[in-house]
Amino acid sequence: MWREIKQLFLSFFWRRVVLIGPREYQFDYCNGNVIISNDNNKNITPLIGILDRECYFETNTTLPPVSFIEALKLKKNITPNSPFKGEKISYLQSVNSTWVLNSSVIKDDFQKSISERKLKFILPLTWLFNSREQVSEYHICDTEFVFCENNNIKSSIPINRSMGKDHATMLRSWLWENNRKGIDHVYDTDSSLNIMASGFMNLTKLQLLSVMTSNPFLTFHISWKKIVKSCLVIIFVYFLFLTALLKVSDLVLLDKKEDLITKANPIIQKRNELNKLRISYDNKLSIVSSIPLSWKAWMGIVNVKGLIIKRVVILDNKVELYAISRSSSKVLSQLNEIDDVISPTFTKPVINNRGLETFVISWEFPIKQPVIQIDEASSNE
Amino acid sequence: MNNSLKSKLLMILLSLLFLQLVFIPVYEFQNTTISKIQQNLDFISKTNSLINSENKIEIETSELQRQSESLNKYFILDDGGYDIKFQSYIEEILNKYNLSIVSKDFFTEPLNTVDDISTYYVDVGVEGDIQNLLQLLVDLSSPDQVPKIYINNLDIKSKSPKGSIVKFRADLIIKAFIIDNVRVEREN
Repeated sequence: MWREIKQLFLSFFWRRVVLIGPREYQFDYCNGNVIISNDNNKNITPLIGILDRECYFETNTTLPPVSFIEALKLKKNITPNSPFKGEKISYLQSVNSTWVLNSSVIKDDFQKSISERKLKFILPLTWLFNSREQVSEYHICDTEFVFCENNNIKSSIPINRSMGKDHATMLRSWLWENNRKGIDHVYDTDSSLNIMASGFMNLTKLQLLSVMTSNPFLTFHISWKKIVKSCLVIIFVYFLFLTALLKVSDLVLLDKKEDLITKANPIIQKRNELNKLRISYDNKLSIVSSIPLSWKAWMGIVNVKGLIIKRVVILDNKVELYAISRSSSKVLSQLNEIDDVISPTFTKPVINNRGLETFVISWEFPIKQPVIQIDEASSNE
Repeated sequence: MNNSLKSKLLMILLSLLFLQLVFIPVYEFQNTTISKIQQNLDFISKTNSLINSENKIEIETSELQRQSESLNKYFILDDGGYDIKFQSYIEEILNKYNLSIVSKDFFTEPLNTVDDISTYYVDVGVEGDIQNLLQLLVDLSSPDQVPKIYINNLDIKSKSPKGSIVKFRADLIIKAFIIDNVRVEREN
């Protein structure tokens, strides 16, 4: 599971890299030699190998002992006896002092399919592996191998440079074995390849594809460098994405904020009016509720007996009583028993004149009682 | 110094420059933007809440206005002649309780003004029976007595030097609250 996820994930980022690869090839087959170069020049062409025998016809003809110039003329004039029409490609090979003309015909339909993928150069794989002097496993690394079905490209196998050698060997042995059945001239003296081929000779094309795609060789080899690079790319993309997202969100919210401000302005005015009204109401209520109950000042005066009142001064919540009595202490004790008289005391020395005492007593009385209490609860909401 | 080392040093330098010139400014920009977004979200949340409470505000305003108007009866409405209105009101009340006015000093400046409600007072010298004065004080404390006035200071003496204060002469400082009638009408 992890492997599939990893492949899916990595292929998302590296697919093009793997498929195209840093290695590009220049082929020159017109003069009968396959020359492969990875030098950078204007004729750079990706290398494509065709696995399917159905898509191309391959034959070879041993030419009479003629010079190379004559062989080239013959090469132009000899037409392969192909069962289908297509593009002819051929090259001369020197074998035992004679020339062998190797020819292939690529099916037109398949050629068209290849062209649609903008792949300029097509070469049957048997050519590659029959020309070991020029082509090695190393050369087919970073190359795309094409499978086809009904003349269309069905799938392809990328061969990564880092694991390509074993992979290419496997592919090569398969091709060798399968081509030996169809082409007489295939020869290979590599005994180790013969041994290896026995394990793959009976595989069908699809089985081979299956084996190769499940083969650990095909697992993407990811170096630490690539992991770090990819992480940096992901972080950078995420960073940019987050920045853009934040900016967009900010702008969207700003628009929404302005819309809301437009909608809320009349309501804010109403709320302000309500607040003013609350303050005004609180002030009124406070003023009305704080009106003193001035009659309470008289509670201490009208309820005391046995004295002659000469003067009463009421200032705010304080009362000063100027009076004459036979016993000022009895007056004081009477005042102490009255509810609305708070802390009565003599403010001046008591003067005793022929049995009558002249004195001044002062006290406080409660003044603040709410005169009205209307719906205070609702006003405080 | 070989090329590899040079490349590495160049890479490190470029990385540092990238951090300084790109990463840190963008990071700060992100932080600033996040703060702004948070503020905007809070604002939007509060504003939405305010918009949703429009009906409640209107109902509360209407109710509070009704209650506020009901309090106006406790104040003398100033429609341009508050001094005459105030004085005549005092005279009317004192006459009602058979208290004779012997002196009168009306203070034209308000004692204080809070939210267009001004407190005025008048210093009045009166004579009469103590029973009437007491009845006046009790009646003034009744909620039914509107507009509200109250006797803030009282200096009462016996009219007869040798007797008690059954018949008295007193100085009263009477306070009342006058409200700007123009504003009241505007509010209504």
